[in-house]
Amino acid sequence: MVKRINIFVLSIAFCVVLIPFSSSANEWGTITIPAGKPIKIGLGAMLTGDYASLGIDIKYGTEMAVQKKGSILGHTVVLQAEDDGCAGPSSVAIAEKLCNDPLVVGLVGYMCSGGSKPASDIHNKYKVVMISPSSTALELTARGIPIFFRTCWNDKIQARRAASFVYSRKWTRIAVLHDKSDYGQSLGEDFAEHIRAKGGKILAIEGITRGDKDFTPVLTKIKPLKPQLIYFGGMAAEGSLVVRQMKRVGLRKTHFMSDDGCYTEKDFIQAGGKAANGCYVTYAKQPDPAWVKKFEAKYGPKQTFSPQAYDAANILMMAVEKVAEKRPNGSLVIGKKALRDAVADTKHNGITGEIAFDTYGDRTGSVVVIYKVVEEDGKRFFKQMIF
Amino acid sequence: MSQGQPLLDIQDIHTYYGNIHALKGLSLVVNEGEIVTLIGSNGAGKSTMLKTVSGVLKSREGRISFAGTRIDNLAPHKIVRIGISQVPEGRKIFSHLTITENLEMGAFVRNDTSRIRTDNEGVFDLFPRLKDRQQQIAGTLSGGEQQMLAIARALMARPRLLLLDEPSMGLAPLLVEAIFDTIIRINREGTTTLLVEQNALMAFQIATRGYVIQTGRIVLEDRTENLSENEMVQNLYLGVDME
Amino acid sequence: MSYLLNPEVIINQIINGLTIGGIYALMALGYTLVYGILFMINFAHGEIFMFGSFGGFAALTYFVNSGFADAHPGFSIIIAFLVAMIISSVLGALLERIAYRPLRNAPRLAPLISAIGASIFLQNVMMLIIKARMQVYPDIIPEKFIEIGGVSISYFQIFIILGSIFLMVGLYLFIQKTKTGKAMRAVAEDREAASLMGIDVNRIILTTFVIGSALAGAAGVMVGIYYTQINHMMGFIPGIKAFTAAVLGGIGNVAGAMLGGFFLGLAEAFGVLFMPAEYKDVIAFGLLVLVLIFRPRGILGEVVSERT
Repeated sequence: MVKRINIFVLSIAFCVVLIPFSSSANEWGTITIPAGKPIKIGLGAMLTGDYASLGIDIKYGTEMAVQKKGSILGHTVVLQAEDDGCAGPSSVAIAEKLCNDPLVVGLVGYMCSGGSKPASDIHNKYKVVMISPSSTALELTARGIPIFFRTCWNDKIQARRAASFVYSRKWTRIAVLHDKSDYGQSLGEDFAEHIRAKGGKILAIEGITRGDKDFTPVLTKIKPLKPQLIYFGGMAAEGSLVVRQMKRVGLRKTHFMSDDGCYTEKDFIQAGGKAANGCYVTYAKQPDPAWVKKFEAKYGPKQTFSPQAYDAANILMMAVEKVAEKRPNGSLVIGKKALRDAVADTKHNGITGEIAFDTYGDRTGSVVVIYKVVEEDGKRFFKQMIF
Repeated sequence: MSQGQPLLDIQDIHTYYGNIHALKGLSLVVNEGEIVTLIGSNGAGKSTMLKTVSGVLKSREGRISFAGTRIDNLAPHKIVRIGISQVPEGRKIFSHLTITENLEMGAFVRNDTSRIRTDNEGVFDLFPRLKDRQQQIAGTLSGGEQQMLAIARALMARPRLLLLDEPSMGLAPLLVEAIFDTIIRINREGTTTLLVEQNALMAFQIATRGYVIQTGRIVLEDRTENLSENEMVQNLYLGVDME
Repeated sequence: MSYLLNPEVIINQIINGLTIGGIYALMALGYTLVYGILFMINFAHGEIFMFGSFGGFAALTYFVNSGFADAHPGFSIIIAFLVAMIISSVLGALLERIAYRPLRNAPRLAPLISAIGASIFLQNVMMLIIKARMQVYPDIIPEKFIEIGGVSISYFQIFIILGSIFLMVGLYLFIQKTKTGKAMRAVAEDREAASLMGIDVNRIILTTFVIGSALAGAAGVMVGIYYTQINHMMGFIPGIKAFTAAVLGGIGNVAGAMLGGFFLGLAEAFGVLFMPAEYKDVIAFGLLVLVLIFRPRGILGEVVSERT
């Protein structure tokens, strides 16, 4: 007993001693890039698996920015892309690896909210700044993590926007499906809250499993409730199956709406086939068309978050350029706290629009736009809705 | 003794069960047309010898010839094809298959459909009790009926040499007699027979020649009437306190 | 909860359950045939299924690109099935020869580990081939529906249910009526006795792998056409569920595997009505646990060999 108390007291004493230091600016430490060594930009995204089109798109966007930049103060910039599998455990492992790499100045990522959430704790431990192009979950910026930023929007905005649109169409009988992920579930539940607040009726909220292919049982269960709209919080692999299987179980007049996870031409419009026609998804407003042209010439059709990734990489590199100090021996010293503050102070006119961050790391002035899958002249694409 | 050419010729074979040296230089000959018996107690190596002949076990040394060709390196299914059938110890009928299907498996190596049908009738002649139960699942048969089925199944391959592993085991004396009568009948119809038995008394009644096996070696070989007179055989295999 | 007793929902769930159940059953047969004959679980069976699905995908994609599919959609699908079944069969036979036969007399754990190794190896091979991207089956035939009242049935569902039953009846007749089929049963019961009948046991075992794999290949194309998305991991969960179905029906028991497959499909479809849909997988594996505790030999009973 005595021993235990001792340890307890000791640990409290430790914390008391440590807290002032760890919160002090100088204690974040510095990154030193020796002469002749490259500056590494980390990247965490799903590069293999069902959502790989999304991740590879992010990688291309980042790569394009890095290649365009070339070098900073005489040091070449290289991209180190890691496959985070869109999941917590692998993202944490990558975070540990990259944060301990002395040449990594910061990271673009992670792709999925479920990866960004645990990984941001690791980044916070080492004070390595991260800018996600695609993790939209509400809580990511609500946890007081100073090194987390995002060039995408907060799902708070996405859910509210989607709910307003649904309300404007006078659809009041709504069923919600989500994929039980940090992203899909919080988005789905937030959307449901907004619908309820506007007086709509949420008939059901059901979870599905990522990677599952058969959703006919749950759709059959929902069918007799006669929903006017099914809202799906999740990714395109499952979303495109849900729209196909809605037709199969006879939910043919029910509208379908989903999120940025389904804003992908390849995995939603193509994979969903004809069933995808008429579906609604939410996403940012379109990026600079000149940039899209350049991107598509090099990498083929843009999917989802490559513009946000491009901007994220640029913001990170600009901040490095701003705070890095060249030493006489040719090495580069970057204060971690200074770097984070430089990112936080960003005022950048990016290809996705004006970018600045609020105190939580969220992008200010994010706009979420409603798109509808339409077929015109034999071409099927996301058409921006006037709303 | 109907003295024909040697049909099965086993010369000095050594077979191992894992690390156990089960057959230690065993030699044995069965001539065309004979009934030869091999007697010995439990664990002497009787079944091991039959399994070696059938190719289920491989001998490390020695040679086995059948009708002049070496067979000791052949796979079991090929040995059946050249004319050796075995009624294994414990019958090993296919208990989930019907009687008809068991007999079909016996004739697996043959393609002469019409003659298979004739032979089918033939075995039903030998064992009328099987004929009444052709569609019955073999596992439901009594012990004696299962033994009949095992013999009938082996005959369906039309073997030149029939190997019988303790057909009397676990059967009532009356049934044993019936089975042995049938073995004589099969032999008269031209099937050479090697009969492995613990029941030496019965075996000597139907076999012309006999071998005695002890711990993997042949210790005695003679005509059966002489073996019956042998003192050691009487003590060990014919005595009242046998087993 | 009253809507759960809605007859339209019940009928639709039966159709949903039978569709996925037919696929489980086709795959479960592969597990059960191999277990029945070798007493080992072929854990690479899900990957055989996956390769079959990709074989069908490659064939259909080729037909779409060459324009052949527009002119002869039905014929294209038949060829896709054949291609898939052949690829799966060859793969199953190779696995048997390379990964399992050398270990036939090893302790039971050895072939099991070999199977898991083969499974991971095959997943990775396909991952490299497709660069780990999800692939989408082309829509060759537009999906049509029958609607009676509130019941909606897709032609694809009818096709899968009837197709799987057709293959299962074919397999059943093969096993019951043909000489090879009977030899398979004989080998399953007693390998040594079968070899004493002149049956080439190795050939029969190979045949068993080929047949089980061909069924898995067919199931792979059905999944491809019905669910459209395929990837290198697609064999994993269906593989485990089909294994569950085989155990449910009594592993080693052919009729049991068919029954177990349909039973599991229906249980998943109806289970969703009574609990949140996110627990769908829990139903399958919960059933597995219950069966293992209370009826370890499955619904119809395991075929237990007389062999010791």
